[in-house]
Amino acid sequence: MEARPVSAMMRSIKKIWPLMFHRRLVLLAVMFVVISLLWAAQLASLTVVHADRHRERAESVLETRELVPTRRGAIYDRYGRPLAVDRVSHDLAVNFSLISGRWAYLRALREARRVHRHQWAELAPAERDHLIDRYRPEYEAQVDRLWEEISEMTGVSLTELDQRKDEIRRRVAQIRGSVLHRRLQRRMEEVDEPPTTAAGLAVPIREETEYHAIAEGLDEETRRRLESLTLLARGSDDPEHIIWRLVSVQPSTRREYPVDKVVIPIDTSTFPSTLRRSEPLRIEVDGAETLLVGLMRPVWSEDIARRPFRRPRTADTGRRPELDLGGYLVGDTIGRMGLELSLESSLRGRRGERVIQLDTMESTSRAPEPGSDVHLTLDLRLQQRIQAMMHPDAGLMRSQPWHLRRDVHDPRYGENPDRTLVQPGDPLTGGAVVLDVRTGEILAAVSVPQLSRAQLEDDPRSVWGDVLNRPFVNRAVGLNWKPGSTLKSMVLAGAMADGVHRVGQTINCTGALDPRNPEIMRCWIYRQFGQTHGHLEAPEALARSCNIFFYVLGRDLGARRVIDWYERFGLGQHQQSGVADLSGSLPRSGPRTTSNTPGFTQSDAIFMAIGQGPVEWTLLQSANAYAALGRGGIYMHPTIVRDREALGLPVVRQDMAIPPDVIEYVLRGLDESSNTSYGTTYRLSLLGGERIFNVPGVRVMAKSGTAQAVPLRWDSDGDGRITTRDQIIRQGSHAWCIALVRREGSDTPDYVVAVAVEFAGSGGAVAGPIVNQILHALRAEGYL
Amino acid sequence: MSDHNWSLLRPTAAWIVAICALALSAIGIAAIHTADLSAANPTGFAQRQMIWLALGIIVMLACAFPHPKRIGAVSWPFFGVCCFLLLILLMPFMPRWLVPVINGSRRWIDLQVLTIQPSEMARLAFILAVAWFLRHRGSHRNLHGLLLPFGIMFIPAILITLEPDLGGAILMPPVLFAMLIAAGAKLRHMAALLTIVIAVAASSIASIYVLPDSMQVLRGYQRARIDATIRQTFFDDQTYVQTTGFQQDRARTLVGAGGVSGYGAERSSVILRFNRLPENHNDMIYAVIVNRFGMVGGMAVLGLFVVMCFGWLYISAMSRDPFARLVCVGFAAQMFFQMTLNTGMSMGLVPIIGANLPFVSYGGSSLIISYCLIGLTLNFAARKPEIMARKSFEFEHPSEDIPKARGFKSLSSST
Repeated sequence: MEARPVSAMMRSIKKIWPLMFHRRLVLLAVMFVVISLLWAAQLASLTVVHADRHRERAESVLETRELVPTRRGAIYDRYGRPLAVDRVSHDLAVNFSLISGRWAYLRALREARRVHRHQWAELAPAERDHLIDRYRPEYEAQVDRLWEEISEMTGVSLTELDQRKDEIRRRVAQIRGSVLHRRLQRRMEEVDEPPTTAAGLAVPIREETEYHAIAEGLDEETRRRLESLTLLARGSDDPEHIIWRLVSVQPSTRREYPVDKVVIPIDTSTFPSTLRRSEPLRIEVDGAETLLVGLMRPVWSEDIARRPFRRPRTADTGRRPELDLGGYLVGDTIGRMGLELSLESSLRGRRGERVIQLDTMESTSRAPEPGSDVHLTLDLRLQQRIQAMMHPDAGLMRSQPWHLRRDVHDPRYGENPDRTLVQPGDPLTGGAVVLDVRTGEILAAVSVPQLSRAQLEDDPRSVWGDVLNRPFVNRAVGLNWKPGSTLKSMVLAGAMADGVHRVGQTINCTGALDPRNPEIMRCWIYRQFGQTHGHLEAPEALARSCNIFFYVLGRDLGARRVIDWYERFGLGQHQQSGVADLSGSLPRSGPRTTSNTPGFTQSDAIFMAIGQGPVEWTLLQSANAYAALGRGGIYMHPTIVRDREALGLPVVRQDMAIPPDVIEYVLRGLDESSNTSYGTTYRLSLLGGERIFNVPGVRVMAKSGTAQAVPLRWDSDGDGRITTRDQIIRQGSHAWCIALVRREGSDTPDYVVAVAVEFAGSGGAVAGPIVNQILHALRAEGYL
Repeated sequence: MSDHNWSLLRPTAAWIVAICALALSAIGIAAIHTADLSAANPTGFAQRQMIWLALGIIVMLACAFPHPKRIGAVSWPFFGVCCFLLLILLMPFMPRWLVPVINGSRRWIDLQVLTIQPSEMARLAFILAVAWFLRHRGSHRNLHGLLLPFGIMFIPAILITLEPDLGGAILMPPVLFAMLIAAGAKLRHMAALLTIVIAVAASSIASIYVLPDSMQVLRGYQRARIDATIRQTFFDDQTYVQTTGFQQDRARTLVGAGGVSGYGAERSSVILRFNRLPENHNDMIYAVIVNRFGMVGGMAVLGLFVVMCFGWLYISAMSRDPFARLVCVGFAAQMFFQMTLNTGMSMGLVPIIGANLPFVSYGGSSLIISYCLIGLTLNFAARKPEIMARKSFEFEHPSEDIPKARGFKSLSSST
């Protein structure tokens, strides 16, 4: 049935073209027409339908961009002292062909080919090399003369120049190795076979054709002399001058940290008696601000991926890559830690650009936008003074015999002392924060041990490899601490604000929360001395730091409300201070689904109320919570930068709705703690009862804490994780002391000083004297 | 002057073919000039191409005079010489000055005063030899009879492939197919062979994406080129833009950028300079033409080739000489497929395999051989049909007289 139409068609065709040969030619012609139509359709598609897209791509190569570097914003302390600045200077840069020696080879090759041009094609490679070697010394001598002149003009010795050349050669070789490896991999991915020749892979990498800085920070006169020489070389054909075409004077910016090493005299007359000296102690401080201000590092691929200079093409951005002049390119630097990291987006600025049309050489420019300067609330001199005072050589940050009560079972002593515990004489690690109560400004944030930039540059292994002291950790904002008894003030405020406890109400301390089960939930006085506190009113309970009192408050409040109050005080949360900090941790509410998200039990509430259990936060958070109490229950973010709004930081002022009488009641407890004989921050009981605070003319309201800490381990099994299987290298209790201080004549506290010392033992004995010396430092700097 | 010499001047379809060739050469010289302007150091290729054109016209005229029987008689020796020259290229002990290796290929014989490309000659020799072989035969009507024509093709095709010059070799099978179809080979045989070829090609392409590396038939770079073309043309994928697919991507971009009317000589040379299109005076000349003259220029080139091929088919139809008939079909097929291959590369329809655009691309050997084809065409078209000529390629009506074809005017009737 189907054959009929075909047959009919064939008959018609045969009628038109009766000859078979002609029909075959028609068949070929039809084939030609069909293919030609397909080709014409593709041509029309490219030139009509997609013409704009192709034209844009074709013309995009006609323009080139020159990037104009910008200036990174400077960082100043509260009195305008520069902490980090971009220094604009000029470098002497030399083309890599001079550094690698290739220039002399190429010139000799050119000369040999010129002289022997008639027989060059017939020469064997070895004969060519021989001829090149004949002309080479002349050019090598020219290169040597150039280096001598550079050395003379820049004052950089020839030996040092050689070292720098070696360094550049080594760096370029490393980059070349990795680029060639990538090229080979890409080639293998595309064609699944190694290249038969080195062509394509052996194309010089960018660094091999670029100029490299060989002498940095040229003075004005040297710069002018060198520039005139390079200009002369451009217009000269003199062979002696031509080589200067490969030398360039280039503007450069360098991040500098101009805080010099300083020697601070420490008056020890107000120190605990065993640490007093007749002569002022002179402590060298180097890098008091390093951890806070931070450092720069070269960008990594992750940084570039996060904010690339060229955004990849997408359907939205069209065919051409979108440029972000503030984005990162290979070779850029980025903040590594501290404020340089946390304020990166504000400090970075935006490059300028000059777009040149290559065909017409017309150009359009866009000026660079410098990064924002940042003025801190930090007082550099106060910071340095506190850093000096907390130097182990001063004694306060070194374990002293009077820090811990020794008993017969003390594992520090005996034939096989436990070396994971701090031994008398060991240097201690810790941090200190000073806040202005009214404004929340951070006046000082110190971490011990100090970290100097010189040490980081000269001996980075001593920094990054020191797993015990961890000098790279900023203990003021970058370490979570168990808070111990310091949070009892917040529990009391919360409990009274919620009506769980009333003014005048007492709680009986019987040594243990459940007298029938005296082995658990005991008061510290019962554990150490077998005594009880008896009936206590809240201020006295705070001053004595009675655990039973706060167990009861915690039990009556319940875990949910305890946590709510911690959250209201900003504990366990990022502080938005301007410097990158840890958030700490608070258990969040939720059903008991896994061991990590517990539902809350009564014992959780009880333990959390005395600073044990699943709560930890930074020193800054604790200090700020006390500042909130000092402000009468007003929460504000602490700040290290003066103009928060300009940097996009939130400005918060939140009333926690704590009645004034409750605030007064809590502050009375803190006052009793440091000003009455039963207070835990009143005296150094193991040092003959000396007063902890001895700054005249100020009122100190303090709270100590001795917090059982999570042991410090190092990755002893080398699996890249710290687990309970790893070896303990330090354990014990963290020592805390937080003080609100009021100047004479002030109605409310003016400053908060918070100190925490790792694994050091008694809060009052270890941290108390440090807080006292910080108060003396505040007085010396005119704050008190 | 003989009658044939005078009859050369008569207006025939061959002159249309020749005029198309000259027009293509003129467009080619203009495009080469544009490409030349885009070079950092002017190469003078356009001027040299004009000299080659003059030489080509001389060769064309020289080819217009010998009798087709004499041409046919030397076709086998010529084929043998060409195969010998192809063998010389592949001999391992050949001195570099005689057989230089350029871009990894041994395609040229450098006679110091002249450089010749044997593969260009071999393609002509192959057409002449096959046409001479098939002119009076009917053996190719059965499957076994196809072996010999294919054997004739494989000798130069394999030698050219080994140079390597895949673009040169790949044109031979379609030309043979066209000649066999015209010569009366059974269509079902041709269809079966074509199906096999298409199936092999399709499975080779599919295997790139399906089979593991160890089981691949094509070499790595060949797979990459095919993959690059498919990705860039059909998926707008930029993976190969900076590597294997760079040349094709640039060519497509420049073709598209030409728009309807093109950039014009000056602007086009600027665009070409900064887009760094490789082989812009040779294999990629079509991209230059479209960039300079736009779609109008591109269509003109396609149109001129189609008219030229139709001219050859017309001459073939009008001729009574079976040798001339098949040679003209071979020329038409050769030009058409070379044109589609070359323009297809520039438009992203065919992977880059290296084939120039006849009459248009820069190159002496190619241009002279191409005009040799035109000369032979003029020669065949001007011949009076022999009154006693045997009927050729009419296998359906062996006993019948050949009726007059409708739509074709006999050459004899015009004399």
